[in-house]
Amino acid sequence: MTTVLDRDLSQAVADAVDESIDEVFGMMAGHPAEQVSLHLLPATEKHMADKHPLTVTLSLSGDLQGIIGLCLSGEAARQWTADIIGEAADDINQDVIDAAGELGNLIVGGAKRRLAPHDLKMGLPSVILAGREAFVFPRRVHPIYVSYRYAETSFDVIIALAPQG
Amino acid sequence: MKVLIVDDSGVMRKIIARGLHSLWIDEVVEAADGVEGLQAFGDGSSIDLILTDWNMPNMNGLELVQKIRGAGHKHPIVMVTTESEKTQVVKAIQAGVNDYLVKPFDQEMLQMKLQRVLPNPQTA
Repeated sequence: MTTVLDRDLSQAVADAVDESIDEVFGMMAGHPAEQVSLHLLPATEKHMADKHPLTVTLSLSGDLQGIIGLCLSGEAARQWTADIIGEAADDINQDVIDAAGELGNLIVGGAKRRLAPHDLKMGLPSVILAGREAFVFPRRVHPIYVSYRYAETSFDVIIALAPQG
Repeated sequence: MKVLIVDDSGVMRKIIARGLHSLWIDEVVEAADGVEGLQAFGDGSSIDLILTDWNMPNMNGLELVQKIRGAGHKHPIVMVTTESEKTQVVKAIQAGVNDYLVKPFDQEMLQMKLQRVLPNPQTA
């Protein structure tokens, strides 16, 4: 039985997330998000989101199970908020938190749509105000770690999914 | 013209309201779920259009549409959601939505949807 995503499926998931990010930022923010790097993390290596004080996670269940996480720098979260609601925030306030949650919702929703042959159910976004929140995964999960640049700011995406079963 | 926006995301309600303002629609009532939406809708006499999300706590958008249509109201309703599978769209249309807007969307798409359900939003 396969316990990790095969290479083709990993690429398909990463592509679906990337296309979704492209669509979300292009349509709603007016600034594109440009992919800077993509790589697989060793399964047991911690990815410390130490430069990112705001973390959004969404769970997926169904054919693929796990989470997709966004680690946003404070600047990226505030930039996104200002771009979509037209109001600048000096700090990470409730609008910024809501906007980050919505960003996760839109990105993962778009990825789910692109992975339509797979039966996937999406959970609600959780926003964690913990810059040093560690991402750790069971051995069977091989996370994909993607970095983006967005209007002079940055954010990371962590795709940690495993097939059902 | 008064528009009821039902979405559990405060930010999404702001985005939609911003889009409506750009179409000269300034009267907006906001609700965070179907229960609040139904309360804000009341007897429907002061609402001209409903824009509702699908996935919300307490009462989802589909249930809200079913309740409004079940009470015999003919108000135009647009479902604004990330749900885009054909079966979901069909389910929403069967429940009585007039149109369907998939998130993410830009202002042009929002305007196009409003023009479909309203004769002329700029002059309403």
